[in-house]
Amino acid sequence: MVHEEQRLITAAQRGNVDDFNALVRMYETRVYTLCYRMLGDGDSAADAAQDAFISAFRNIKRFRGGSFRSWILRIATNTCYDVLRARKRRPTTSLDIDEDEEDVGSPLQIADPGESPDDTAMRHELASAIQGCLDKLPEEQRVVLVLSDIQGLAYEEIAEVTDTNLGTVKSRLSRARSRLRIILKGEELLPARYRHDSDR
Amino acid sequence: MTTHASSEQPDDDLSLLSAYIDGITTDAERVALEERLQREPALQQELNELRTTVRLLSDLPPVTPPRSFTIDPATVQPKRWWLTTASLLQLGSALAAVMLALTVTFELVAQGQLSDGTLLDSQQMTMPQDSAAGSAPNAPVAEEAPAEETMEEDAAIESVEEGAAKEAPPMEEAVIESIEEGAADTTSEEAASEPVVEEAAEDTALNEEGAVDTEIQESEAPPIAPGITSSEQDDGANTIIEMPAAESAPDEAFIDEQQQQDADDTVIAQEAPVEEPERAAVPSNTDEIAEGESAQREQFGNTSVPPNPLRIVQIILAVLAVVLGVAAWRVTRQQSR
Repeated sequence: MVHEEQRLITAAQRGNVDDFNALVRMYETRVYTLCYRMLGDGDSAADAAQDAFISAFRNIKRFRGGSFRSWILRIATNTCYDVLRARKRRPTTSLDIDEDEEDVGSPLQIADPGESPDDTAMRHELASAIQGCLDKLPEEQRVVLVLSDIQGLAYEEIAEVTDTNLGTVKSRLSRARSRLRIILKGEELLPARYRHDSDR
Repeated sequence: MTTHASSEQPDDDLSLLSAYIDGITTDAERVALEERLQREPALQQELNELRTTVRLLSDLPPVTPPRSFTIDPATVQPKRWWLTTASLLQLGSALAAVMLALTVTFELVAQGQLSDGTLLDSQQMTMPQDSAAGSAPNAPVAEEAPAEETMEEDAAIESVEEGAAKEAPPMEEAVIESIEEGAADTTSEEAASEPVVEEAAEDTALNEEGAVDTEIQESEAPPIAPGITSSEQDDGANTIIEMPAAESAPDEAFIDEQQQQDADDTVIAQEAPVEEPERAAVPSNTDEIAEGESAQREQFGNTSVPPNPLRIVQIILAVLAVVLGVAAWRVTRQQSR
């Protein structure tokens, strides 16, 4: 797998788009998930992911080895920062931020085959609410939280993606978790049963 | 941010709890924290909520991209510099060709206007010549040429040239007489020298229409009035002025005059000194005008024909169009291999 990835990277560095597209297919879900959790809506996330891959192809000759996943996620992270900065410069009135319509623009989420429709609806509602809470975090904390607790990356790799050191990652992660906990409590999204489960 | 997060626990405890959840604390840190958790329910509550938060995030349903993000090769293909270069070269070649066509058109139009103007000048000249022909001793010859010219006015440029060829035999007599004037005042050897003959022949070849006019007007030289000559701009008119002025002008001026005549004139001029010129008919002020113009001719050197700037531009444009076109073709061919 590693050798195959390295072969694709080498071919892509020679300008082979087909081999680069093989890399895209390997990482597009992960990149899109990061963009979606960072930006909060599916359309912006899709555009950011596409821009990130195009930027990656144009700059792939600068890739000097190491983890390609970290490299592509770093590009995606920077693309998300650009989008968020652009949003701050040009604030727009969003029509789909209403909490009652949080599903608007959300990506397709895979349903659990065994759960009831009510459970599925509740799960989607909870997911949208959590995404709303994530959006309230500062960008630097949000990206670390997404990479760690959603993407499952190790601290070292998060440090590589965010171009920071390990201590900064630990600090940002602890603050992000604590802050999100407070937000979730404020939104009454931290159910007692979760607390109960965690106490066991 | 920090103050908000640390409203319930200090940053150090938060960092320790976060590391404890992820299992990255040292053994000493872990033992010390677990002892505190048993003693401090608030710290235990904090840990439970943090664990729930982390679980909520990790339990989020995976998202599926709405589409594939594979790249279309056309969108990321680098700009092919050679295509731009070839396009510019082709554009330059086309522009040069268009400019060339414009200059050629301009030249043709100008030639057409010139030939029309020359015919018009000839027509204007025939009017006083006709009146003066009666007083001239060789009036029959003088009348013959204008008459033929008048017939040619309606014809095209080609017909003018053909007409000139037809006129040649009847003009010879007049030419002989007009050249006799100059030949009488100077040595006939100089006038008939070979270089002059050659140069005169070249002038005649290069200025076809002018030469025709020159011949025609030379044949009418004796009866021409001075007022007419002052208004003339072409070579034929100059010849008319200078021929009578040859007496007062230096020998070089006379040579210049001879160079304006065709080779036949010059050859005929070798036999000329025998006859007496009819210079008495030329007024004295014509000599002064001719003197000035002869000096002007010497100054600008009319012995050689100056290169036509338009022709040079046309040649440059033609070369440019070809070179740029070939360069564009070569660039495209090399890169398409």
